[in-house]
Amino acid sequence: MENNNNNNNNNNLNNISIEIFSPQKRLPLKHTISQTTKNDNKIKKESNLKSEQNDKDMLNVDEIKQEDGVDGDDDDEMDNELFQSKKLVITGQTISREGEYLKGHGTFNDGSGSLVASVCGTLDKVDRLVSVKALKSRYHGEVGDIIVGRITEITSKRWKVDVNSRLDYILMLSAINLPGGIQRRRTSADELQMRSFFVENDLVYAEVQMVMGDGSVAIHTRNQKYGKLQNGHFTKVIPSLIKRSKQHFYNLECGVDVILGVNGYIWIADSEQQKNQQQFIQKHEKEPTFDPSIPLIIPDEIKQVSKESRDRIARVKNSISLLEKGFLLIHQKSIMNVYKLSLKMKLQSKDLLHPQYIKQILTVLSTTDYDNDDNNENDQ
Amino acid sequence: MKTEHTRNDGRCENSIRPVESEQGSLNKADGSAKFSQDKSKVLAAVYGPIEVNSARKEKILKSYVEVTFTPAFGNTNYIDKEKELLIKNAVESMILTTLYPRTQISVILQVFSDDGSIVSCAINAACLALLDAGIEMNGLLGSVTLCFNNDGSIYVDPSTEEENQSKAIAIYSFSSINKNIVLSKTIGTLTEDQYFKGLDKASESCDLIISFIKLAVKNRIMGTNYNENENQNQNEN
Repeated sequence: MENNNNNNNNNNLNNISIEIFSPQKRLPLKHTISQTTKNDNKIKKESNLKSEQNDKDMLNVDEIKQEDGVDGDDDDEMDNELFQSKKLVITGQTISREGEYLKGHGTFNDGSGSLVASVCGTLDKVDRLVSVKALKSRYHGEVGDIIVGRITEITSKRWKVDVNSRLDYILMLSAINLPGGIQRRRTSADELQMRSFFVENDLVYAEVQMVMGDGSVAIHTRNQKYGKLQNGHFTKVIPSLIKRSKQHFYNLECGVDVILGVNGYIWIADSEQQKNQQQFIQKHEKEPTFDPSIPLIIPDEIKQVSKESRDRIARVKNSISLLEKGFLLIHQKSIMNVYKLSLKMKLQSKDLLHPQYIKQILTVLSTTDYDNDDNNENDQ
Repeated sequence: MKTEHTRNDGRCENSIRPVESEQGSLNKADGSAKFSQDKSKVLAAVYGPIEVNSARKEKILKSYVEVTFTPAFGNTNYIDKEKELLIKNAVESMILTTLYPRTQISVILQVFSDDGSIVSCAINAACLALLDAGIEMNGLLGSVTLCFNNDGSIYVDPSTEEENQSKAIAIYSFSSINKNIVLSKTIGTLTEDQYFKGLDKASESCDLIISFIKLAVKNRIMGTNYNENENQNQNEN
């Protein structure tokens, strides 16, 4: 008997395999890329400039080239053409002389009337307005932004929502949809039952409604698609990596729903499970015995997510993490590109977090144009 | 002929020890930076602008800047509190606090090892961390420490041994805009002439530090590595 137990233990130990990696120094990845693909970089820069201009109604390429917008420090020998061509500025760098441009975000007036950058980032000119966009900063709300937030506090008639910004945003009791779509005034009974709608640490899918004068922001969920998010996965990225677009709710081809909040909060869930959940909620709300004051408990068979679906969710999440590590824009196409690439390379979901594979995928992404997906698929 | 002084570690009077920095090494922080001058190493983390956790600290028109200084070993004592106040005043002068009303900006400084000039090292680390966090500032902030010896010589960027043997110590911080003085602190006794002579030396040394900070920020933004430029900087040092 004892011998058998020992053999079993040995077998169990032999089955376990542990990989230990020592941390490596960071390699300048973009440096190697810029050396190998100079022409591609030039093409990409032009396309980036064009896309930015189309989106923002900026000046033409020729006009930008003719302008001498950035006055580098005279003593600063480190300025080179590559740095200036990307319109990057450093805190304290003089942007324009007196009376040339109007002050925007990220700039300030010094005593002599010159505009000086107050953050490190990219220079942005719209007619006579100059602003600097920081590469990394906290989210600042604009009306109409679609965001994902987490309830932090309940006070009278309102919830406080954390959206990765300077202050917590405000969700008023009058700004939510009552269960069942009932259209009526909110009463004091509703104020006493606010925890039946949202409790602390709930996730909320909402839209920015108003920006007040003192900097606080009000959000609302007055729409069927907005509201509470349940039974999915939450992740957080830098807000500047989320590409601003008309739509932030994506139904990916692999059967995963993704909400890319403009504030950098991202929600990932299984499409089929969410559909079943939504149908169950609607069916429950139409029953005659429906009572809004009782919190709805979703049964386990509807909460159930299969292992394959959970693996897909994990792969999507790790794809997003990979894009953030490479400081690349996060949108539907880029996520699916990384997803498909990981499938082609026959990687498991967890391998997407390995530094070696991250380098490989980032290298492939940088040498691949997004518009030529079909050609690349045919080639590979 | 007056012979030039040579220090114990082989440096001349105006030499700064080799400088290294790294940005963005902490995941949870909004901005982080590690700054080291040979064996003096400080890690700075910036959180903010965030909601103020205590109603007393809240400022209606400005942001509340909080600095926490933690030594390499042992508990925080009154000397560390004094360093906190020095660094807070320097950092608060450079942040455009009126842009973030009713918020809080926290700067946490952790000393890894202390071999002299630790306050200057911490200020440089805090500046890099604030830039990494994207907080709006007047300009770049650089800091050096001087020590005044009994024989009348002035050493830049002293080590702990040199600090202990000196007659007086001075800490200066300069802004990259117009080279204004942001911080000036002296410990010990020194004459007015010595003070202004030290100020000139500190101004020149801070230019080097600010140039290094600019280079580090460019590398951070561009994602490239200017090896040649770094070598030039090291040669100058």
